[in-house]
Amino acid sequence: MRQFLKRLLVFLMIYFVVSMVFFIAFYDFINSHLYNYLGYESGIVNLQYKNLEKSNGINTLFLGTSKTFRQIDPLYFDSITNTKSLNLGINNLYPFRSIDFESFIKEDCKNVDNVIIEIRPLGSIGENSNTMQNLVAINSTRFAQMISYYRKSHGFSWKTKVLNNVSMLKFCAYKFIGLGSIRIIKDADNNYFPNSVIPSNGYFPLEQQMNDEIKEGNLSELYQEKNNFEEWINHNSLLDMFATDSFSDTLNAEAGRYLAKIYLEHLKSVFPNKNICFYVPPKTLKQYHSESLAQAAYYRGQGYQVVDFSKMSIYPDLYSREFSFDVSHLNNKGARKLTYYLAKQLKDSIHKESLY
Amino acid sequence: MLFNSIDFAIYLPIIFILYWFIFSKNLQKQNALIAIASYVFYGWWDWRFLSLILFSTIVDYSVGRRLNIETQKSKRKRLLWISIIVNLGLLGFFKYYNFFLDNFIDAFQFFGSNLNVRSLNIILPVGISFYTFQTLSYTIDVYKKKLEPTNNFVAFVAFVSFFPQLVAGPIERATNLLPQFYKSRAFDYSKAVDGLRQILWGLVKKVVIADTCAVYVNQIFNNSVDYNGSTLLIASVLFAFQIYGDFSGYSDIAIGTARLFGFNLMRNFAFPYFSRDIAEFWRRWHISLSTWFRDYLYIPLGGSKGGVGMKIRNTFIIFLVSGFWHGANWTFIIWGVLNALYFLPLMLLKRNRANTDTVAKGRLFPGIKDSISIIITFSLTTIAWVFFRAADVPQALDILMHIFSAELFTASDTIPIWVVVPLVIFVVIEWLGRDSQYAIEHIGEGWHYSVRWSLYFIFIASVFTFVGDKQEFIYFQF
Repeated sequence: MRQFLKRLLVFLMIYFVVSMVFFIAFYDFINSHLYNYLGYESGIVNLQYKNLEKSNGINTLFLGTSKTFRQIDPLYFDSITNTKSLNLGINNLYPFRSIDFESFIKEDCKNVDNVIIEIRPLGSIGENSNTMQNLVAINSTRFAQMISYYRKSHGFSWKTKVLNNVSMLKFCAYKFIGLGSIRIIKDADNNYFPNSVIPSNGYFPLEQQMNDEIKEGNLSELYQEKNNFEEWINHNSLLDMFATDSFSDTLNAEAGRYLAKIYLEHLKSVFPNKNICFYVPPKTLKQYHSESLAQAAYYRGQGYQVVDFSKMSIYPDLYSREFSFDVSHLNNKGARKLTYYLAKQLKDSIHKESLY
Repeated sequence: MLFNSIDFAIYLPIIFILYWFIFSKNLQKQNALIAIASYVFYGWWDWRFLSLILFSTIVDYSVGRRLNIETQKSKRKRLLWISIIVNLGLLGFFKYYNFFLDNFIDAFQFFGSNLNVRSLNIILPVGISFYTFQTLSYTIDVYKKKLEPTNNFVAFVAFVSFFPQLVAGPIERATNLLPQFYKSRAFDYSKAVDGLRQILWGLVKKVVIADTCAVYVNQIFNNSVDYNGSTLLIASVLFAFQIYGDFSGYSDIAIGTARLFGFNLMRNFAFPYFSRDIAEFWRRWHISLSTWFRDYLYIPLGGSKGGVGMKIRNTFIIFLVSGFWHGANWTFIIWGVLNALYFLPLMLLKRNRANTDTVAKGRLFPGIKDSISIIITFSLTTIAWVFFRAADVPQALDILMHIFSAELFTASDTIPIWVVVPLVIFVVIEWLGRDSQYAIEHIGEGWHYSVRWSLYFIFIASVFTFVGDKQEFIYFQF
């Protein structure tokens, strides 16, 4: 029995060491075969991306999460700023995964002048880093940066330190022992939007999706979500979710600054000579607030324009029931409103010389 | 809990350590641990259905005890029927209620009258077909006096719910497994190593072969109208490998896991795709089920001893029931009928036992005759698998019509190299190990351990490399 366990342990240790050596040595070779960002994404992102690939005169690009994809109306934005923009926001875009997405589209952005980026909580990598999507999507440089982030958590509490290091170990083990899914299908699947039809207005508010689904006789989760929100707001105030104008959490703020530095470095390499602007979307949840604001402050400090919608006192309408779809997203009217505010603020700074 | 999940990777070592370190000196405690571990294992999926297993266990345990006391033939028979009705009643309700109801409604509608009966939203308990047959084998064997009924309830609970084979077999005979719970078990190094090796091979089959094929099979079968005949043919062949890798992989993991705990389970697969005729295929495919039907259905019906009519009837019954056992769908029934039609000529010509040895024994390559026979058998099996995989009979017929048309000679959609290469390597390894219990049982024997370990490293790395979204085992649904 002891001999069995001893040998098994030796076997596993040798396996671990050998596989780590192999993995590090051949990482980029293996990863280039594995990496296929769009394979994971919904058909709609793939189709949007094809628009960029074909160029089609696009000179302004929106990048972000669902808060961009669901809330920025590119046609309306163009009508105000006289640009031709493409909304490449992606639902549930995990932090760092987006970094590789941006690298992925780099070559297709030659004719793009403006890149407008939503500030989202990069610091939530602790929550999301172990997903298969992240593991596959992150390249070696980014992987090293993630480890560096975990290791640099010296200013954090003991609990956070322990959790970070556990996450890091788990992450390394997962990454080194297994490469993740090799079975990535080249073409995007159609799981999210079965028919992969891009809405004619180039973005897709949640309310519109819900209405489309209702027309098809499908009282979907969105319908339920909307009703839950209506019910919730009868008894609660949105103020509780978002009202904070200061750095309530210094640790998250520290993480935000550190990650913003990495992220900006990356953006400059991916989008050289482009006009990069940022915006903090409305309804950034309280727990991400400090980190997002720290990021915003860092970008501003580096001379970039940042439009900040995180303050309820300045943009009360974006937080009102009338313009809300759910706790963190706007409805159709709200999306138009946000697009209007953003366009107005960026109008003067957007480069127009290479238009059409 | 899935064998190919992180939960099981943590759970198994815990039970293993408890079993050999804490309870190793007390057989009763070891059995109790297995029983509890098995219930937790099953309850991980849905704890509510534990009551079904427990109920089945109590009924058969009690019936077994009564059968031992009862001497009167009619009363013994009545007891046997109680067990059969309870077990098959539960199975019938959970698995076949809606099927029969829907077909009754259709039949009544055909004759112009409408039945207003609603079908129920019934969840099929995982593995119900497996443990029902296992526990039934106990009662039948006790009734036939082939087995002494047990007085040890804990051992009986552990036997019925033994977690390595609880949800997808092999369907154990009480005569083989139950006595193993009475004997004290000492740790056997070579047995444990062999068990681990078989688990590893099972994982390779499941993760590298079955799940990889599944991606393409699902894509093509779910959208079969969009694909031409040649692509549908490739998907059918891939499904043949998928179901083999999936099910035999599960069996290997189950047998290997049982060996870690000192148990020997029966063999379930013996390289069926190297069979030279359908009769040989059925001696090598899902052995525990086919022998169950042989022992408890075919032979009691008269087997092949009667006239031609009886032989034909019994053959059809056994294959029909086998198809129906797999699921409440006409596709499975047609799959069974097809196999019966394949099998009958061999039986009537008394050629059904023409191939009982290992193909090309002692040689590296098969002869031309054997090769042709293997290809024909595999092709026939693959055709039958189309019905097994299709959503309904019209889809299966449509797929076959496209395959057997001029479309077969059109270019097919490309299957990536990382599907083809592992498949080819897999077939080669299976071929080289076809004389063993499982393919890699003896591969590497006599090699320096560093070379042998390197081979295992490659297998482990391939499992981790190919692991993606967890795919359930196909046979869980049966």
